[in-house]
Amino acid sequence: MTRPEQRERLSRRTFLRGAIASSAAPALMASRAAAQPASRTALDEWVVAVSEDITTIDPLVEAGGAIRWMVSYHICEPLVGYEGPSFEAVPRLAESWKYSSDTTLELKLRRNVKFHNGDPFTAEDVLYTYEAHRSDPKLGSGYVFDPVEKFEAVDSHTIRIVTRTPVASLLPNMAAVFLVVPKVRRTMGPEAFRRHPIGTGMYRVAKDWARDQPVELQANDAYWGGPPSPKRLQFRFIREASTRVAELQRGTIHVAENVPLAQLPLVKRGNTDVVVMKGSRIIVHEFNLMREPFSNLKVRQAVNFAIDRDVVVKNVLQGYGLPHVGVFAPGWLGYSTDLQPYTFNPQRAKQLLAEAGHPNGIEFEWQITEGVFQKDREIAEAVAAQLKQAGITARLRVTERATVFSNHASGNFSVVPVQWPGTPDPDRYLQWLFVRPKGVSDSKETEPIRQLMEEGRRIIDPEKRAQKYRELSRLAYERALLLFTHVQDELYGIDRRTGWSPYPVRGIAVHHWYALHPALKR
Amino acid sequence: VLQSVPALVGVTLVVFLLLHASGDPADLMLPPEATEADRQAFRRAHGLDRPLHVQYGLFVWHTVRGDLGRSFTYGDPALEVLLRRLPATVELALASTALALLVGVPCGVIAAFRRNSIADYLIMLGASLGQSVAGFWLGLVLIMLLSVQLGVLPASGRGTLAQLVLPALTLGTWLMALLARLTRSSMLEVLRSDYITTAYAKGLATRAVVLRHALKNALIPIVTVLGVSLSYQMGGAVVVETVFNWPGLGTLTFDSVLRRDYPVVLVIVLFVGLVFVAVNLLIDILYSLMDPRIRVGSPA
Repeated sequence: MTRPEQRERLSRRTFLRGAIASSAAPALMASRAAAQPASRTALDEWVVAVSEDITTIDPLVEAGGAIRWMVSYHICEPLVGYEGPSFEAVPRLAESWKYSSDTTLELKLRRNVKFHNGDPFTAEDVLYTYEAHRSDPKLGSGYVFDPVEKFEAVDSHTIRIVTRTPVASLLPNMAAVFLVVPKVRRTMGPEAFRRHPIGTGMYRVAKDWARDQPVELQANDAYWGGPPSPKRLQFRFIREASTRVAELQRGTIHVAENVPLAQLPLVKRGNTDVVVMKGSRIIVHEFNLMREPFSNLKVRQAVNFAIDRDVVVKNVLQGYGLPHVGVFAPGWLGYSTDLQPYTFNPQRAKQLLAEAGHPNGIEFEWQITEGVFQKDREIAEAVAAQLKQAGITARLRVTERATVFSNHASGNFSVVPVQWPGTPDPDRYLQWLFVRPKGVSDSKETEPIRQLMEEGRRIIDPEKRAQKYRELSRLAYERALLLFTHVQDELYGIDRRTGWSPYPVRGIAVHHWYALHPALKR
Repeated sequence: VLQSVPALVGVTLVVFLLLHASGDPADLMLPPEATEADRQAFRRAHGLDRPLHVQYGLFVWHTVRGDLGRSFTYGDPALEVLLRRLPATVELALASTALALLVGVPCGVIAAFRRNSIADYLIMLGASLGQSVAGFWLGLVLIMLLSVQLGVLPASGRGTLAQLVLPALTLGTWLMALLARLTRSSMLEVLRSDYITTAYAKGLATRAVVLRHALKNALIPIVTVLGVSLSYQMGGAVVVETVFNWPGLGTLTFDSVLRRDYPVVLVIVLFVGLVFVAVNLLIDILYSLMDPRIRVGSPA
């Protein structure tokens, strides 16, 4: 990963070059698409069917849901984006940045950028957005801004952020939630702004938006990075996967998110196809370390040795996933390939159980979800059957997601699933795994993990920081603190004429982007 | 109508307690990255940090004063969220019921009149299938056939008349089948009555006997079923709204429960309760219009 200091004084041309080089994989995919000019011009308007309700498109409105971030990301921009498969920091509204000390970050803002309404973009807009976040705890961005001591404008195009302690995750976390909104929002009022948000992004709102209606966007031809394609972009919420696929086959939508595996044969023919974002969502299961029998290391290892991950990925997920090794997934800060994986070995598992004082095996309750992730129930059933071979009985209990969340937090579980999409910074994911849940956070086993988290949070240099997380991942993996299963691919159905493939943009589940990146156009 | 007040209080209380028994809106509304302090602030902002009985008491107090709270998800008044979805639900319910009546009742009459004929067997076979088929499956098959293969009707969404056809058909099928069977058996019973024999004896045409004498009396159980079927329409609507992406109350209810959007769920519960009370009242009135013997106070 590039050192932030090197980003200083980047011209637009070097940015474009850098972006091309740094995101080689999507660039390759996109250039393949660009090699078919007919298909590129064939569709000027794309309709994207999303699988979750779009609750708002104003980035400063309290409301859950990840999809809205993805939609907003097309209208408004962060200062620095984390894009591509390996979290590369990419200049967006800040053209360069540097740490003058471990606690002081200075960002130079791009000049001559205009909002969709023609207002010039200046530091005042950044301050306005920051204040909005600070004053509204319901936005849930306290984790980003709590450590900030001072957030100030040095001049019209320079922002200085001073933190109380070194906070390595500040910039990546800001990329996830800090979408810059013009100060004119204050005079427009939130109601008017909600219908017609204004940003600096590649797309502007084409038509006032109302709830339960599609979001209609049109290309911002004055975009600082050059006009994007397609010219028009529409986001439509279609809840049911089969309906998304049917509309795709009819040609009324052009990209369908979240295609279930069962529908693949339908999508992979005619004018439609499937594209994949590899390994983008971690699905892992948390042991209650304060409960018998999982307080015992050997029991946890036994469970992990009794799972045949390759079979799960190959047979249940039809290859659309990866066996999960270590705490992270490929592309994450701290991911490493040199861990010794738990290979399927029921004999070894039995032996470990016997050594742990369970010669007759163990039994536990496993809270699982159904229909929330690809094949979640089927995977749990397959794994339970494998565990059985080692004398481990998992009683599966399908549990509603809201209950899974609260049980996880309160420690009311033996084994419970956790999912995490690719985010720009690992810190909050680790918080969710090792700090939030009772039964995990109060275990001595996780003390060294939390120590490493604390250290990692203070190391600004990404390479040195990654080293800490590699150490953490190894420790958590070897101590079998989690029940590791798989990392899930995201599947999209596309109309072949779009030539689209997902370009990862990391944020709160903002993990893809529909516009073809302007930097990748030539 | 006053009798319904305790029922509504009871229903909202039960729903309130069940919802609060599991899940925390702060987990569902805030991003998973949010800190515990963020979550606390969220709970405080929505009054979720207070004891349960205080929360329920406040809900009742505010409701009496006409304030039904704001949706956690949308930030809008909960009543507004409901009213936004209501037209779609009413439209679908009316269309599917009308379709069921227009097809189901005549089919039942024909089957009764042509008892044990091919027509009767076909209609009854259709009715059995119609009642047993799963709405979800039927909806998808209709989309596959009429929308993807033949391309004659849109697959989802709301706005045009064409978009109403498939959802109404899917939702109406069960009721249509039920009405056909019910009309048939009810007609058969009526046709055995003495006054039908009398009607024939005085030389009336079959058409007049059926429409003026038989059907009118056979309709009484059908009206009852229409009232009861309302609950089915509400439940079945979740499935149909999901398949056809119909922006109605069914999916709003479903989502609001999953998201623990308490104000919206409670508004819907109150509303549905009121609708049931109103429909039952309406049916009682219809009875007395159709059958003077049922009129309150008059000797049977």
